[in-house]
Amino acid sequence: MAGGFPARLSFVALVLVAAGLVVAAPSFLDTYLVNILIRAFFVAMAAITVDIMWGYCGTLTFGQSAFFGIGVYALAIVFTEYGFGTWQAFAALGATLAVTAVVAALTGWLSFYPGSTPLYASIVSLVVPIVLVQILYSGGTFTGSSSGLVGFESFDLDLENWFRLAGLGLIAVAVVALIVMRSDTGRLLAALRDNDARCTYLGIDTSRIRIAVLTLTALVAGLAGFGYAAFGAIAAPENASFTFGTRLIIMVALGGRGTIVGAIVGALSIEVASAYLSGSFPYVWELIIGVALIAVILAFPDGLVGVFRKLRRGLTGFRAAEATHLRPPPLRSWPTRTATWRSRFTGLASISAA
Amino acid sequence: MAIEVHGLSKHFGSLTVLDGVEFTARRAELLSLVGPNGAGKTTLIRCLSDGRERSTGEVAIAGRPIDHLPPDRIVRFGLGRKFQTASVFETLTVAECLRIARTQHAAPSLISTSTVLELPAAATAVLERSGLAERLNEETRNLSHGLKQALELAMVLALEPEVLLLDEPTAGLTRAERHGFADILSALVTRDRLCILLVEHDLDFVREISSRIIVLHQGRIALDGSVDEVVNSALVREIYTGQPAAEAAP
Repeated sequence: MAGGFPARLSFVALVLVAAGLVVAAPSFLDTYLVNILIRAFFVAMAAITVDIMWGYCGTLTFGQSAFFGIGVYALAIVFTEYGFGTWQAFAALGATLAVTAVVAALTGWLSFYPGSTPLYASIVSLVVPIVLVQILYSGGTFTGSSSGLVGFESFDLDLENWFRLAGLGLIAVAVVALIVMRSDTGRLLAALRDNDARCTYLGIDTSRIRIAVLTLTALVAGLAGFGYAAFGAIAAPENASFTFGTRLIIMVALGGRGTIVGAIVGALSIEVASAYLSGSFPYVWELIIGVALIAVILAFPDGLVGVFRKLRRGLTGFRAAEATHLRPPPLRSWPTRTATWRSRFTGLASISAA
Repeated sequence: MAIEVHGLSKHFGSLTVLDGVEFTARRAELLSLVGPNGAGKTTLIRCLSDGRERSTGEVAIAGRPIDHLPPDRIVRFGLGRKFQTASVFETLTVAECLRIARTQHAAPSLISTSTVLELPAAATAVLERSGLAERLNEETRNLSHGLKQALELAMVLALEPEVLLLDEPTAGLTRAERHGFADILSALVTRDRLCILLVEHDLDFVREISSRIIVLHQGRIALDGSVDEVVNSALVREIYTGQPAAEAAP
């Protein structure tokens, strides 16, 4: 984590408060909202993966929905074909991880081969969910085609515990994402986003890193889909569609990309608002989301979290938290290292002179 | 040999940009590459640092053939390339940029930010001379053009290269910055025994620091010799003054 001890302490305190809220909330929220929020928590996990790919690594990706969909269908297909049970649950989980990893690695290889452009990667990410949905449509009774899979037995958990499980899962994903993104590795990803060519000429295999990040985020999105289907006991082609992929992008843009917290804020607010408003304004609702997105991007390019940060900065006058907390890295001139470096040079020189 | 080039050619369709380029460079040698615009200087630099660029010919860096390897692999042979425009990471701080440059030597942590930055002496020297050492925690987008150039050089030196390719490193620098740059380059060649290949337009600057000069003209090596030989040659006068060689020749 960036920052000193006080920053770390307030981070831990915030996480504990969030976890406490998640544990306590189902007792005083109405059943409908609890239902909506459980789904929203799983969607938010997928939104975090979009934020990492887009906000930190700089690749606008429509494809995370495909990995979410693979999780959804892995569970639905296994439980429909073989019924519900312990081994079936593990088999579904294993299938989710294996298939997402393979598809993601393949997608990454297609998207980030040396010399590819960010636009090309985005288009590949658009194609993947489209192809996947076509496969689902043509899968007959195995995939349920356009009507999806319903009526399979799933985990028997009451609503309150589903809420706690999903909520704590989301917090765990967010905490891991925040820690990694604020670490030196997170800086490396930002460097890839800022200037890929410079990274390559610093001896960094940028393609390999991008493929690795895509695969890891895809696994998380796949697990989120697995949870989503386990709770809802339903699988629909929409769960894998690029429309859902675009929705994830809108959530991240609305909340504030490159912030992780923004992805959660965006996902929860859009999911909850959709649930309440799409019933009252069935067609106008999509239009409202579109207009809201344009308004946010034009007026607040850093999203809702960006607005909040600007307000806080205006009130307290403190600029980027990282700059204030970062200790000056002491520059060590390194006698031992320098010595070996020199001798390596002279050694090579004598070889080439010989 | 630090750089070995044999029969290097580069075509874009029917257009030949480099044609049968052939030269070698040793360690502790500062080789300047001069020539008019469009002579193929930057293309040559690109062909030396990216194995997929050239059309024909062989290139070896630090004694190892670069085949058709991508730049990140060639960099690990001991190559450092500074781009023509200052190329740093705009949203990162100076220290973070340098840490990225050290990725090969110190794998980045997944959970924490390190507060210690270990740099080879050559990179530290550039930071201290330029004044960047006091501005390690500033975001690079706020730095002046000259400081960005210095930072990029420090990042490349942090790789501990054996061969340094510099494409017009002094473009857009003030006279004082240019002078500082010349000192740094001289020290790298004499003290650290680097092989530097420098693309430069300013003939005075080249004359001051080079140990050898190659003149590239219309994709071919027109001259390869000592500073005196090249600077006083009729061809260079023709290229730089526009006078035909016949009139300029004694």
